[in-house]
Amino acid sequence: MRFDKLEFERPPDRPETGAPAPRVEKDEKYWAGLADENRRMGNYENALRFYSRALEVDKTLVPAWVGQVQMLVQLQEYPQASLWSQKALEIYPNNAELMAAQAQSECRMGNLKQAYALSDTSLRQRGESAYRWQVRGELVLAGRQTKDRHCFDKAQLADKDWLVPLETALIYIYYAVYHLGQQRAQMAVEKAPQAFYPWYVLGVCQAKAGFETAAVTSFNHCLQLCPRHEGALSRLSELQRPQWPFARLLGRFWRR
Amino acid sequence: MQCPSCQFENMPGSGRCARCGGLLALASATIDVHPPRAGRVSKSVPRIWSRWWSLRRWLENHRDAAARPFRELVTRFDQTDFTLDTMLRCIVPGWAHRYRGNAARGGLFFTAYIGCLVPALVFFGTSLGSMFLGLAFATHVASAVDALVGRFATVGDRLAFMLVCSAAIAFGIYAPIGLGISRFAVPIQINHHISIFAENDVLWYNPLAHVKPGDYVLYAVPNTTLTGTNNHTRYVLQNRTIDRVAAVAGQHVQVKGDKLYVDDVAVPERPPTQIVAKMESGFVVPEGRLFIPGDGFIPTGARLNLSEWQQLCLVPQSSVAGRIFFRSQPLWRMSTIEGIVSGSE
Repeated sequence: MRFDKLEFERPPDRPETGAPAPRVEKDEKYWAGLADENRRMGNYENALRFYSRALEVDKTLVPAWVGQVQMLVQLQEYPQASLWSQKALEIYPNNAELMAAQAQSECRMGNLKQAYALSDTSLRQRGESAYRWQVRGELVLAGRQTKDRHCFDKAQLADKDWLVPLETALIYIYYAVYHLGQQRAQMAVEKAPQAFYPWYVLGVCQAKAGFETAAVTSFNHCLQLCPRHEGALSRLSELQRPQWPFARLLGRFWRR
Repeated sequence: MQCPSCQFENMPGSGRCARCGGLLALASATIDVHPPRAGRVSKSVPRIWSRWWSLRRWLENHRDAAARPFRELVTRFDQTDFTLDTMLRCIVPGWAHRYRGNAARGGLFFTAYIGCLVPALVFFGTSLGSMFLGLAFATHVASAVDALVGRFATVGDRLAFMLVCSAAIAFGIYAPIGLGISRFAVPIQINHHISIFAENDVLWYNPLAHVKPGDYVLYAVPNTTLTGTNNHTRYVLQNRTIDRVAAVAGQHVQVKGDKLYVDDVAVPERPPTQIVAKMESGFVVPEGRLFIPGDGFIPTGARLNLSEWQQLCLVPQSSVAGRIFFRSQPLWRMSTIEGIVSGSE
């Protein structure tokens, strides 16, 4: 695909307006804003590119470095995420967020011991952030312990943004704990009912947990807010297609 | 100069942050800000990881239900049980376990036993069948030992009890069954082509069957010594063979032309050319004898006179081991004797 790497400054699905767009200064905040916007829509590939554009303008923008690693994790490119967080940590040796990001990528690669060490160090740093607790919660979840809910609650207390429960739901989906993921996605939906991506994630959790009617409603909500959402369309058609029970069970296990 | 990482105010001109060690002069540094990306193949690895998580979670959720039979499988009985009820149930492998409350372990023994017994029966009469029968017997003994005692103090105790159990099961179950069956059906594997049967066929004969003309029988060839046409060679005929019974006691056997007649009805067997001229008057098969004109075992270089031929063909009924009635091996040629005869014709 020749053009799939093209960057659009305006996110897709934004309604066209007749008035000329006001001239904006394309500084690091602008690119970081676009990255955040895409991240909230689940466009992690675009978000990663916008974080890179932000860093092209200002290499000292630590959240953009962290965001890059987070996007690589969301894109399931864990060795690259680990490598990139290491590189960022060479520039900012004791940055807590970067350590947490590296802990997350190590955890996804199965290096729980190393991930715990990094998470411990990041939690010992000054200040408090949602992401550090989120990563801690993920480690607890991966280690099959029971305090993950506590860590994710702390993350939500540290940051009231709906992105926190949403990404927590994504973590639960990764570890196939769909009923808890559904709770977090529900929180995100309650905080931001106008955003389509939480609806989509909620639908995924519901479909995986076996609540297919509720999942259809959630995907329909998602499609009302973003009519061309490919993920919601495909999952909806999959749910509405008649299938043998065994094939459905197999598909549910296989498809992530 | 403020550190971009920890916002610490550093002295002007510092290269790194005094608190966190972060680079302060980043603006002038040449740093690649585009992260490395995964290839198509390496992207599939995390998907495997996530599916592993999915499977693991499913196993955790269903662990108790899934582990229950396995837990039962490895659970031995701690207490011995020599009650009559349990001992009698040792006749069928696994039944005693079920009776004592460990159905899963009993099921395992029963399945293993059937898994050995079925091929043993299918290949009965061959060395493979014997091997499977041995395994089935061993499984049966193991099942009985496990059901009655379970745990032994020493290996010696276990071996001694196993020997006792083996003897009890062998003489109490297998020997009577074997003896009972062998009165009606005995397998024999032939090691060379005989009559209408091929090498390695497993044939079953009935020792108690009443023999009629046309039946194929397994019999011991009357011990006969023939002289070779060169007057130097001696051929000693003995051992067992299989052939068709042409006539029974009281029937008249005659040679007309070069054909053999029994009660004036031609039979497919041909008499040896050396005795054709001397057999025109014929003879009656005496009481207690069968006329089996087997010529497959007569050496071509042997001189044969009428009395020698009669000695060879008039087989005492006591020398007949039984009537062949079935071929079980090879499996693709399994057939009754009627099927084999019609097939050979």
